[in-house]
Amino acid sequence: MTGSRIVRLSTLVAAAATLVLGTPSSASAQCAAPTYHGGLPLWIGTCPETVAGGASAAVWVLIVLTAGLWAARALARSDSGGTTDLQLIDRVFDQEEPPNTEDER
Amino acid sequence: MSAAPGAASTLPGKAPARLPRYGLAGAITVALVLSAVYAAGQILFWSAPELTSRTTWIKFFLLPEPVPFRVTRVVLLIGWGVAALLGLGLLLTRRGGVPERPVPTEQTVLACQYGILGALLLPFAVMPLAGLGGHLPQLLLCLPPTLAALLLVHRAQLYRRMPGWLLAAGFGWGVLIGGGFGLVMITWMQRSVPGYFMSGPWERPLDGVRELYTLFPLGTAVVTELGKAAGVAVLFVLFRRHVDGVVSGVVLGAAVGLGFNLTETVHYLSLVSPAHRFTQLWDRQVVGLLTAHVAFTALAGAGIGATRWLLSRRDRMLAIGGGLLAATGGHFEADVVLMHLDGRRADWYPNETLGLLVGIPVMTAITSGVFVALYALILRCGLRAQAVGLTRALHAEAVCGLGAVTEPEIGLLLSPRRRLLLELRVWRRDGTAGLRHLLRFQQAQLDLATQHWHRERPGADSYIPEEAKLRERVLELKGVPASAQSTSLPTQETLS
Repeated sequence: MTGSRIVRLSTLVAAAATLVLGTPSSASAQCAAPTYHGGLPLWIGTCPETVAGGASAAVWVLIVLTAGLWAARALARSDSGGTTDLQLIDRVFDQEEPPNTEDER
Repeated sequence: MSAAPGAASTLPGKAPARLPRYGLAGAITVALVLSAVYAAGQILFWSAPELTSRTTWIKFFLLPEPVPFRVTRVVLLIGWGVAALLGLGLLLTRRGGVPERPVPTEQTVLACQYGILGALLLPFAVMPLAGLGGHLPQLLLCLPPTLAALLLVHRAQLYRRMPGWLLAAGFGWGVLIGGGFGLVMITWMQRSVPGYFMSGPWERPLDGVRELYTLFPLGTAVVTELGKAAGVAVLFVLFRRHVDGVVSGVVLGAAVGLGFNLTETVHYLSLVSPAHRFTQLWDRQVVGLLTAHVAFTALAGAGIGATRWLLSRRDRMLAIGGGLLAATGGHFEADVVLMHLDGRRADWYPNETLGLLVGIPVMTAITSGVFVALYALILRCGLRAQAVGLTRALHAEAVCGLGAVTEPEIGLLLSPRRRLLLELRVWRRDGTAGLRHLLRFQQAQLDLATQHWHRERPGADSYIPEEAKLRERVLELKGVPASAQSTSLPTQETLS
C-alpha cells in the first residue's frame, strides 16, 4: 500500500467515523449545518458563537415583542366589536335571554 | 342520519367505551413492532463481521458502549419478560386455563394490558432521561422555545382543540419514547454498520464510505420516523374520540416532533464542545424548530389522522403509508442534501456570520421547505373543512333552542381572532380563572358542534360521544341548573 493511499484511506476512515460515531473531527474548517442522523457533521470549525447566541435571543425577543404589541394594540383599539363580544359573553353567562340576531346587540 | 330538533341523537349500538375496544390491543401491537425492530438491530449487531485489528484506524469504531445504552439493553430484556408473563397470565385466565382462579375483572385485564404496554415502552426512556438529566442547563436553555412552539401548535387548532393532556402526552412520547428509541437504534447502527462495510478487503474504500454516507442517514431516518409515528399511532388508537381528522393528526404529530427535537438538541449539545452550543441552538431551536422533525412527524400524523374517515382498509393503509413515506423520505433527503449543500456554503457566503445567519436558514428552507409547506397546506385544508362543517352544525344547534349555542354566539365561535381578543379581555378583567372558564365553555360548545358535524358525515363511527352528554356539559359550564336543562328552552325565532 503506497503512502498516498494510506493517507487517503485514513482521511476517509476518520470522516466515516465522524459521520457514524459523532466524534468531533480535529480538522477545523467551516461552521457546520445541523445534522439529523445522530452523528456530527464532517467539518465543524470555529463558528461565530456570539453571533449565533445573539441572533437566537434576538429572534425570540422579536417574536415575543411582536405578539405582545399586537395584543396590546388590539385591546387598546376602541373596537366596538370587541366590547360587544364581552357584553355578549356576559349575557350568555348571566342567562339573560340573548338577542335573537346580531343586529339587536 | 337526521333527528328531530332537540332530540338526543345516538348512534346505533353501544355507547362508546372510555377506551376504544381494540385501543389497547392496537397500542400493544405498535409497541411490539418497536420491540421487534430493536431486536432486529441487536441481531444485526451480533451478526456483523468483527472489526479486526489489521488496520490501525479501526480504533475509531471500537468506542465503548455508553452506560445508558447498556442499562437500556438490560431493562428492555426485563421489560420483555414482564410483558410476556402478564400476557401469558391474561391468555390463560381468558381461555380458562386456570380453572381454580376466578375470572379477572375488567379492571384487572386493563391493568395487565397497561402493564404490558409500559413494560415494552418505558425502557426506551432510559437514554433520554440520562441525557436530559445529565445536561440540565442545556435542557433549561431549550425548554422556553420548545414550549412556546408547543403552545403555537396547540393554538393552530383554530376551532375545536384536543385536550391539553393529549398534546402533552404526544410531546412526552417524542421526548422519551420516540427520542429513546431513536437513540438506541442509532447506537446499534453505529456499532454494527462499520463491520459490514469495512471488514472486506477495502479495495474500493471510496465506494464503501459513499455507501456508509447514504445508508446511515437512511437507516436513521427509518428508525427515528418509525419511533415518532408510533407515538401518534398509539395515541390515536387509545384516544380516537379526540383525534378526529387531519388537523388533530398534524397537531399531534407536530407535538411528537417537538419533543423529539428537544431530546435531539440536548443530545447534540452534549456531543459538541461548549464553544459550539449557540450554533446548535440557532440551528435547532430557532431555524429548525418548526421545520425538520416537526414537519416530518406532522405529515406522518396527517396520514394517521386521515384514517378516521376512510372506510376501506386499503385507503387507510395508503394514507398511513403515504404519511410515513413522506416523513422518512423527508428526513433522509434533509440529511443527505444538507451535507452536500454545507460543503459548498463557504463558497456561497464570504464570511461565517453570513453563512450562519443566512446560509443555515436558506439550506433549511431548501431541504425542509417542501415538507413544511405540505403540512401547512394540509392543516389549512383541514381547518377550512372544519369551518364549513361547524357553521352548519352551530346553526342547527342554535335552531334547536336548547340553549347550548345561541345565534349571536355563532359568529364569535367561528372567528378565531375574535375569540382570542375576547380571551385577552376576559383575562384582563377576570384573571386566569375567568379565562379558563371561558376557554372550557367555548371548547365545549365547539366540541358539541364538531361531534354534531361528525355524526352527519359518511364513515361516522361509534367513537363520537353522545350529543346529550356534550350538551349537558355546555349547559353546566354556562351555569344552567340541572333541573332547567331537562326543560326545553323557548325555541329561537327564525334566523334573519
